[in-house]
Amino acid sequence: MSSTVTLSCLRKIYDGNHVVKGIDLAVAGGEFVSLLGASGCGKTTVLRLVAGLETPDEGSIDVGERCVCDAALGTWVPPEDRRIGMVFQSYAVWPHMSVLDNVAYPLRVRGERRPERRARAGEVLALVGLGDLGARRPAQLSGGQQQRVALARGLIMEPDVLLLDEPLSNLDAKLRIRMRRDIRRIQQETGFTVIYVTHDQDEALEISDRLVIMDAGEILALGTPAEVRDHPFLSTT
Amino acid sequence: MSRLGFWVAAALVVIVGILPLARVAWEGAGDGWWDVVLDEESRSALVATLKLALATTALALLIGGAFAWLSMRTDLPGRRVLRTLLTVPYIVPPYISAVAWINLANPQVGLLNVLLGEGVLNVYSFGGLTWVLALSFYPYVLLTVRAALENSDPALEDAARMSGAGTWRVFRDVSLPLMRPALATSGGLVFMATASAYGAPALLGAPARIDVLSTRIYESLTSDLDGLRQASALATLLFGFALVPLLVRARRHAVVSGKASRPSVVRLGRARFPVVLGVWSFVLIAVVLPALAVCGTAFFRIAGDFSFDNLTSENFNVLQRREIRDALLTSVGLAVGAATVAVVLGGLVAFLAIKTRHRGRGLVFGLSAIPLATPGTVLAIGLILLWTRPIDLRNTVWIMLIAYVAKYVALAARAIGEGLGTIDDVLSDAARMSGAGGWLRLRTIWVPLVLPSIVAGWFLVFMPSFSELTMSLILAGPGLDTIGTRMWELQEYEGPTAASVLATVVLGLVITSNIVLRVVSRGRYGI
Ligand SMILES: Nc1ncnc2c1ncn2[C@@H]1O[C@H](COP(=O)(O)OP(=O)(O)OP(=O)(O)O)[C@@H](O)[C@H]1O
Ligand SMILES: [Mg+2]
Repeated sequence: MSSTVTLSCLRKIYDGNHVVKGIDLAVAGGEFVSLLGASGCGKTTVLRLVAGLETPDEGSIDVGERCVCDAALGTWVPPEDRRIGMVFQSYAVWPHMSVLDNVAYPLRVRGERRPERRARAGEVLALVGLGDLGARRPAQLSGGQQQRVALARGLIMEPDVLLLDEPLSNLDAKLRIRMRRDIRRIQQETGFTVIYVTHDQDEALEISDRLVIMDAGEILALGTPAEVRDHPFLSTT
Repeated sequence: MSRLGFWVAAALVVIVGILPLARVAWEGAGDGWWDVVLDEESRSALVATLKLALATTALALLIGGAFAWLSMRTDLPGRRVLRTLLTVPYIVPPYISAVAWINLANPQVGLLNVLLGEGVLNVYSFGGLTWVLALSFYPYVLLTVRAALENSDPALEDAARMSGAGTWRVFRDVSLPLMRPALATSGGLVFMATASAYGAPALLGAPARIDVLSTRIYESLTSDLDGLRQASALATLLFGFALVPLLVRARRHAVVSGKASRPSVVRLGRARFPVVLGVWSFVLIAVVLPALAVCGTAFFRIAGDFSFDNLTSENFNVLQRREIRDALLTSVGLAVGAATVAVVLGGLVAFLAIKTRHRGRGLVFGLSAIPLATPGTVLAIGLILLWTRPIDLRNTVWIMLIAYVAKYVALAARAIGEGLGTIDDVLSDAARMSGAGGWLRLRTIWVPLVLPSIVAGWFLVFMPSFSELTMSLILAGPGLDTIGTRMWELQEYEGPTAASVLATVVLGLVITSNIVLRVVSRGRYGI
């Protein structure tokens, strides 16, 4: 249940603006890799390219043995068939569904029966500390609670690869520490591959196998927490 | 899925709405076009149409513009109620308002003439026709200008006031120029709507021997052997009128800022009392009286005697007549069908235009709006020309269904498009990342999220389809009747009572739909 993710020469241009400038990155199966970098440097764009929500102007992406996208060959696997989960920076919880239905949605897509998926959704909700809010509508939740709904929806999928875009940014410091340990624990238990975007260096250093430091669409540095701990980018920001 | 959807939508939009228009142009502009157009009667119809359209536009601009300004920029008492009351004529089909005014101002037995003296008012005249049409169409002006004033910066007016300008000067020097683009746009619309109106000109103009293009076209269709070709040639002229709103809109200049601050009000001061009196008299004459005239005629044994003993529901027995029941059923069925088809097609067109990057998506959206801006007469003739061979749909409900869908699909597309515009794509992206494919996303994410707009679009098509007359009169053959055409026959051959009963039914249904529409759209649509 884990896949490698390989980005080769990946490039994305928005209206003549080079947002991702030829990135190469090989993530091992079951690895936890964090992307760090200044706001606007292209982290979300990289995740969306891997997800398949954007098409690259150049380069290719392989997930496991499968090439999901190659700009030169015109290969293209639609996002819903990539077995990749994603937790969005802007949460993207559906206002017309209850919290429980939001979280259970990936199981519904898979065709699991209602009692099973509701039970499972309840468990995952409890894990993110929202056990008793399942019946509510998202509009009745705080920002941080909505963010945890989004996280629960990503976790319940148990995909081959999970993309997390600042999933804890809106939580208080204590909860953030607890939640990141939970994410790491679940990831290690289930063994899926994670690409994790964050602005919090301590968070990245604590839970990642490797860190990628990005700047203006390029990879500035890449290494284990021990290797990049003293990188100037980390000490100055 | 998006590719397939695109081609299906494009093909349907073109077949349903564009091909018929092309057929009219092709048929009409062929040999003999000059003969038809230079014919004495055609020329006089063209002149009459121009005169009527200009007069109606002028009157509608005056009424609509004045009320827009008064209700948005002054301390007129009861502004909120007035805003609703004054837009009521918007939802009443013009031919129903013509029936109402025949009840009121027919020279012999019109209710007003009974009060004022026989023959004082005559609705069967150029003036009467202009009045009835202007009362039907001034809400276009009112709504457009109101929207412009809502978005314009009142600081501009405040500045004029601080420079010492009085109420009238503020209006003339600042407000009026601000309103000018909206007046031009809506004036163009009224011009087009008047030129293409058929019901009211036929009911009110015929006794006075006023022949306009639309009535000429209908006559050619029904009388001449070579009628279809002649009608097509005349229809190309009417087509020309449809271009007027486009020309006017092209010269629009942006003086209105997007910033909406709190509008300050002009104090009417000493003018307050006369203005209040004037506005409410207008509401009484233009909104209340016609409604009373229709319902009064429907609910009373003897028209004009509003005493309690005279009250009756007997007149409604006409609804039990077989041919009227059938017409009612046909209209309801057609309107439900047209609204449902239009919502599916319009929703697809709007979705493609707003949520995909398919090439040509804007073109399809634009094409879908052309029939709405085309006179119903022209569209109906085109449909007859198109659906004769190899598939013959003439005189069937199917050609009427196509006509209603073609004409009103843009209303659904626009409403659903506005709804879609407010929904962030990331909500669909999230479903994709949960593994949901196209149809599942459509069913579980998009449709539920835009449901209020879909319902609004449905009613926006249902209402005009239910009461449609112009196209129905041309398309409904013998033995096929809608409530509009049936009412038409009753008015022409049986007198006002039965027609007023049907008019009351139409009004009741349209008003109910409007209330539903307003509730489901939380006040965004409907009046
Ligand atoms: N759809 C788009 N069209 C045009 N430009 C875009 C689009 N999406 C992103 N960009 C631009 O691409 C750049 C990278 O954006 P991205 O969202 O990937 O940044 P980020 O690293 O995730 O930033 P943050 O930390 O603030 O989330 C930005 O300059 C942004 O303005
Ligand atoms: Mg981002």
